[in-house]
Amino acid sequence: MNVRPYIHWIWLAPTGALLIPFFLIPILLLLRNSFYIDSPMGFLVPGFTLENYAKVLSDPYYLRIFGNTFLSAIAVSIIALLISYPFAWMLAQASGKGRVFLVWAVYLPIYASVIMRVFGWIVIIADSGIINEALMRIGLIAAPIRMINEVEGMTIGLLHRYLPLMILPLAAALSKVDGSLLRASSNLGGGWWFTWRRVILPISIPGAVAGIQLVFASVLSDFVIPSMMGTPSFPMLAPSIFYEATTNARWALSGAMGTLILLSVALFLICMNLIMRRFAPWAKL
Amino acid sequence: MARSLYPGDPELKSGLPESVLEKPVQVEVPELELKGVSKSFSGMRAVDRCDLSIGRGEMLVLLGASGCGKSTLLNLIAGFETPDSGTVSMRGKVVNDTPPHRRNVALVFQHYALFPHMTITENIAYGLHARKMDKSDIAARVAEVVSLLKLNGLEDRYPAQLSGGQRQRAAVARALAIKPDMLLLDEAFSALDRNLREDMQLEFSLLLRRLSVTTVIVTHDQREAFSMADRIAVMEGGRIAQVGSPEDVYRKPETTSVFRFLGTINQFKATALVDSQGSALRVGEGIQFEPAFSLDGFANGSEVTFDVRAEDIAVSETPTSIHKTNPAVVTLRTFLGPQERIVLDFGGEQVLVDRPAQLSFHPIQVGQKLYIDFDSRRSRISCRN
Repeated sequence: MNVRPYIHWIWLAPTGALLIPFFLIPILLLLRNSFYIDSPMGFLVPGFTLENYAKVLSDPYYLRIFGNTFLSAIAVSIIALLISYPFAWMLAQASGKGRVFLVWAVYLPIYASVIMRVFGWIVIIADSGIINEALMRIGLIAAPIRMINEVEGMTIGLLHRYLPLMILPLAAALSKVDGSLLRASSNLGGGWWFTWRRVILPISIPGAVAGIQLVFASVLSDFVIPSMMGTPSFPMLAPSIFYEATTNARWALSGAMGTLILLSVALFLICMNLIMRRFAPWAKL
Repeated sequence: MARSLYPGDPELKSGLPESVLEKPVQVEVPELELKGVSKSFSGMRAVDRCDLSIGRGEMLVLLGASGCGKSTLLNLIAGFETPDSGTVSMRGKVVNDTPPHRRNVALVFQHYALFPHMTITENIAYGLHARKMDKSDIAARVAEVVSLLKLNGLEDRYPAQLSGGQRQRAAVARALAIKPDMLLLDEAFSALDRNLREDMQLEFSLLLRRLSVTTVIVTHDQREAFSMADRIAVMEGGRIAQVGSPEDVYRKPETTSVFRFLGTINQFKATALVDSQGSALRVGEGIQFEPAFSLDGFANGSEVTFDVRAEDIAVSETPTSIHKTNPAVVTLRTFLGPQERIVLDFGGEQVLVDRPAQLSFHPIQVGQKLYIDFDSRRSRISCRN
């Protein structure tokens, strides 16, 4: 057999050696477990049942968890897109030291541990935190506004955590709008609104889609922020899966929840790619 | 013309139409007039008191080395820059403060600046949508320029799917679609391979003349300037050094710098020999001639620099009327197709000679001794020390 055409696959060996046993196989085990049966004693009994899926997809308790999680993922994606857009535009148009500073500003939070960032937010938004202290000191409010361990606080935390995932692809897309395209538009008679609608916005679509994909998928499976900044009255998926698996010892059920979230992410990515193929067919050229 | 350049174009197939070769008609009000236009960037004068008038249908080339201000001048015309002083007028109206999108001037960018997310049709229609034309009118106009620029069959492609030449056609089509009062080409041929570039230059020269579009071409490429221009404006240091027909700027340069910028120049250091009988120049040991230019004001024995173009120098294996001793030595001979270039060492100075490639049984050999000859009327004094 002539191995020459296949020999370059050898470069994938180190990552394969890591990912296949420690990533792919656990996921397959999770998939298998989702069809097993949870015994009341907390044991995982081999078998084949769709009951776990049926329960997750019919019990209002679980449906609410899924609903909450999708709702936050959508909200965080949209807010992140709106916040990121002007920044990404600025970043894409900047050059020299200004650009270095802006890129650094995006990356810096990624370097800091997410736990540290959560504590930072707690200092700011807690009942006795900086914001409430200041507002009470100047007499605008009498009692602290509750933000931490509320949906608001969790949303702030999620936004802060995943903003870079929106900014970077968006800025990469917007950097394709170079000065000559803007001048060409102006030269051909396009005012700023016309240029924005017909040039800047469409060219940024692939970046926005990539950013939404990243943020949406990340929020769906985020564990740290909902557990540390969220509230039990607005349960989110990842902490719930953790709770089912560890506290309730329902491995099969949590396996089904995990599989469903994986499928949702896959479905979402496919949908977004279809949207992209429809609205930005040129991006793949 | 042996080969037909435009197999699909019946009008051009039967030879060029008369109008193509006619000189553009100069009307009372020029299409574009610059009066004392200056523009500085952080204290650096990019454009310095430029005066220029362009007639309707004329093709004018702004020629100059990079950094001479020609692109800034183009930006001033397009409206991307506002002059610090002076006026830019179009059809007699001052447009200093008119923003680019309100000037009916179309610019073809160096790298075309086609919108990557639009098909060729959408790119061409862009300016028409900006003008809020009717859909049916837009479709008709697009079809018109598509066939004019021979883009048929490429309408639904994206710029990334086109070759360099096709992209350039698309960029010109997009510019012409808006029926601009003036077309500006900013180094628009520089990204093309040489053969394609020359084909495109010829094609656009003919097309734009046929359409009588007033055109301003910015380039640093002399060949491009000479092949396309009705008139050339040579720019240097932000100023327009000379405006004239290609022949005029080449044969009758008004300044030494224009002379030096165009063509290949040899600089000779010479000694002025002035006495009551007359004047002469001696170059190194061996060349002595009576210059066509005046040596009035030079003291006997003073140093003079003069320039001779490479194609104005002849070489001979026997002594010439001006070069009797100490022949130059051939250090290199390069074959350039229609031409050959001979590099000579003359007393330590390098001399370049261009001449039609010779069909000789004794080709020039490196190390061969040759005598130089030139017509002193074709030389030019450039420096007085």
